[in-house]
Amino acid sequence: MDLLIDVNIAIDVCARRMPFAPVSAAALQHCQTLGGKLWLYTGSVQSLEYNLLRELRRCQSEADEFVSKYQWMVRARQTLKAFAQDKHWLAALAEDGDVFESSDPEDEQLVRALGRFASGSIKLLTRDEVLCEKYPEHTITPMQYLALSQSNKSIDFIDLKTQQDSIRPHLEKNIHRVINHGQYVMGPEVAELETKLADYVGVKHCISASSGTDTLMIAMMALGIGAGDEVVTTPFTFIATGEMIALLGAIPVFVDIDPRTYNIDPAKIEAAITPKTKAIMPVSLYGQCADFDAINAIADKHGLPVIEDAAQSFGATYKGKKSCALSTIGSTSFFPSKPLGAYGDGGALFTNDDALAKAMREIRVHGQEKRYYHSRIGMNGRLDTMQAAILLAKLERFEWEVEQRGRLGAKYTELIQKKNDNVKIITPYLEPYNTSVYAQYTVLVKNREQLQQKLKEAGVPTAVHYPVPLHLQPAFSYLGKGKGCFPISEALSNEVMSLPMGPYLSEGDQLKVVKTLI
Amino acid sequence: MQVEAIYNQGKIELSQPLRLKHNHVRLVITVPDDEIEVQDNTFNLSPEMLTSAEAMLDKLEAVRNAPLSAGDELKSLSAKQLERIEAFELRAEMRKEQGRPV
Repeated sequence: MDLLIDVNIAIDVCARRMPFAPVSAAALQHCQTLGGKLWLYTGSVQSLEYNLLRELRRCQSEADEFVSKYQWMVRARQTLKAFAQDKHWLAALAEDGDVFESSDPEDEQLVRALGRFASGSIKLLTRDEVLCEKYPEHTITPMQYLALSQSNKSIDFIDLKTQQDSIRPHLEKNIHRVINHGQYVMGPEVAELETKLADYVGVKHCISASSGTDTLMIAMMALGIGAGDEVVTTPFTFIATGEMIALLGAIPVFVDIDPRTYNIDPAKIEAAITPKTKAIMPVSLYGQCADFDAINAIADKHGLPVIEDAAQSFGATYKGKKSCALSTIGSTSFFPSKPLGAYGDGGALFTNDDALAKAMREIRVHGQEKRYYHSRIGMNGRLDTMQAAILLAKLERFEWEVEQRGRLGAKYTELIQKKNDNVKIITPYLEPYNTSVYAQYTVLVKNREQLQQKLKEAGVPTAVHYPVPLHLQPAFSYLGKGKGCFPISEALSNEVMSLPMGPYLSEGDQLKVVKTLI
Repeated sequence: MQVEAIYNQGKIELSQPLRLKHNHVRLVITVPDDEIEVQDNTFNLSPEMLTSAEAMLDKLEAVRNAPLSAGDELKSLSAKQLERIEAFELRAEMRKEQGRPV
């Protein structure tokens, strides 16, 4: 449970107000030890400042006799700055303003702010008994909090909350900026994001879009892929890869995967190429790029474009080059759980080809070359300005998050291999020339269902990416590729199990996952 | 200095008349164990909790008592800030009357 700190508690601690200070401080410490977050309400800043000033002056010693009011103010502010350093700021929003009919507007503001959280996830830590009596469901005293038993907090599969808390000021500023300028579609944030993403990836063009599924569709439309054409891809992926090929009337031609990397096996691609083949679409699964030198060599030989489905690999590198900069077109997803995730759907396309970039830009806006002049058939595939604004805030920390992902992935492998003498669990293989963003940290296990149940009981969530390869999905039964056609994909789909992963996974939680797993 | 104090109906009275410089002063008193009928466990923290809480309080105290820059001695509060001080004094008084902490 998180705690919103009432002014009286903050003053107890900042002014060492006795006899309350130790208990108030202990409650704050206890919250952090349990993994809870401590919040201060931005609307309370003045109350904090002036009440602390008042308290410091009230308790001044003989030595403080000549300290001026101004100096007390400086002391109060310095102390509050230090106190707030490891706390999170909860914004005062417009709905917190109209509180003058309330018996206590200040309290009303705090209670309204708490109302924006899920029930029971946060309480106001206060010594104010009047407030506690009036709002028992929203308040807790330090002693009541200290008496709470330590809950066995379950681990998040992907901890988006901690990320949000760490970028909240930037995030809120960006969101409010969009609300205020009102350019909700193709606003200035979209162009700013595209420029920054193109720079990050190291390509000439970035075209943002409405999802990582629509980007695949836009890319293939720009390449002129249509009915009867064939696109070579992997069956061991999320449905969108094959689905978009099929939606265009084209035929997904599956090629089995490399059993170590789980990515398409380049050695098997050439045999799948026919006169009808119009593109190769490898997927950089789980955050590791496919072998693009080998794939591009085959594509060049046959004059085919390559679309990297980099929905899971944005931020990863292949031989020092960024994912999305490795082929004719790179396509990524900003689905919330992706390494760079929005707060809704989103995606982006990357290319160095000017003509393809122009085509993709037009296709995402109904094939529009200029307003109401449509040079080709397109779709409604734009990224919302709000999502661009959110992604801009997230992009600030992205490089650091990519490093954390790499570090935590390597740590998982080290911990599992150290404890796993009988080699019952196979950790992900990373090519020496690759870095992975570990969009998923996926191991191979023989007894998946039992392990998942065991982990679930210990509060450790898991997922299966993916339980059925595309050729065995009923939606693709018309392709006539039954069991045994792609044996490696089929075998791995029975054994893959993804563990909690993300840049904010704590060492303690990671250890707990490994201990429970083995 | 040590002085004798009498507990009378919930109030502590010093047996020796003393005029203190401030209206609010923290004192430490000794309560005979055999006089305690019920001990409210309110402030009975574990040693670990107390140590970690004290560390937090010490850290903030160090910040609070850090030497001020020389320029701060010459500055004074604006009229607006002084008005706010008065306003918050009034708020504190009202809350005290209501029996609420500041």
